Amino acid sequence: MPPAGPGPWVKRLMAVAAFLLLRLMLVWGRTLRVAAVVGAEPLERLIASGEPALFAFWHNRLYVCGLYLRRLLRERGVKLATLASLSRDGELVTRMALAEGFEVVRGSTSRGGLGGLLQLYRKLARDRVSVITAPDGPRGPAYRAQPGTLMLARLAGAPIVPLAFAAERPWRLRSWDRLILPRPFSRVAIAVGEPLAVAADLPDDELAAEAERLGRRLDALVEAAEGALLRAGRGDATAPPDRP
Amino acid sequence: MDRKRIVLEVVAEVSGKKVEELEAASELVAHLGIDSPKALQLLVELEDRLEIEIDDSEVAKLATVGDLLAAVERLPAS
Repeated sequence: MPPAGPGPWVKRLMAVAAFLLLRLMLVWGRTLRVAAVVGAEPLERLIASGEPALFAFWHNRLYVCGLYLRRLLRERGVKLATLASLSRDGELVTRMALAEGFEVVRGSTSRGGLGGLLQLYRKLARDRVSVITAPDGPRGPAYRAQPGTLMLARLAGAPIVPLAFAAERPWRLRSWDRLILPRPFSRVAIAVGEPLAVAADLPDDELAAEAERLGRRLDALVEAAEGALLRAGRGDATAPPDRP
Repeated sequence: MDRKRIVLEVVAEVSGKKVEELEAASELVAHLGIDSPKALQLLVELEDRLEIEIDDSEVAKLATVGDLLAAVERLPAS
């Protein structure tokens, strides 16, 4: 027998909470100054090609990376999908993401998240909708990429676009991933990596090594974003100031 | 070709076994070595070839070849 869903009052409360939290995050986001964006040219070319992609960033960088992608892709009419768990947290994320025009698939994390991966595959390969993934999600360990993103890219033939951000003295939540929240009105820098193609014939026993390589690229992008933020502070930003 | 035959062929392809070696009680992970990457490949291949969509709740219950056959038999073609 399937578990009972939330009651009507819980659903209403969640709807209100999602609405308020989303408004807060968007207003908060508008106060941030993007001091630099580095490496966005390949991303621009990929978007222009119309090919769907997997956008990958560490789970704790969801907020600013999500805002950046939302703005960039919405301007160009690119659809984005993401995975939310079947938990109450997932319900909240789903409501917020739907309100922002994302497509959301709800998936369990049982059997290695297979159900969720299957749904994301359908989005990528059949509906040709780009997908946001956190390679160290949904539960960590933080900064350790799992092979799911690589499995999806290999099967769907879609490139992985890694990205990261850095912020001035951000707040860190006490969640498993120590979610990074930039202080309002602070500066952030975003770094985007070259799209990574995963060969269709990549053997299964090389997936873990590829995931580690993806993790190293994400770490390098964090450093690149931190460097760009420092340079921007000295007045030599690599891109004009912008807003997410 | 009937659905059962297609399911068995796809399981055989993904696991590297022969169709004749597969039994309903064969466990996908323990006996056939179908770990997560192979399982995703298996499900995608089945959906493409049978034009079906396997529900997330069914995926979590799939432990044996028999489970897979039963789940596919329950689904209408999309």
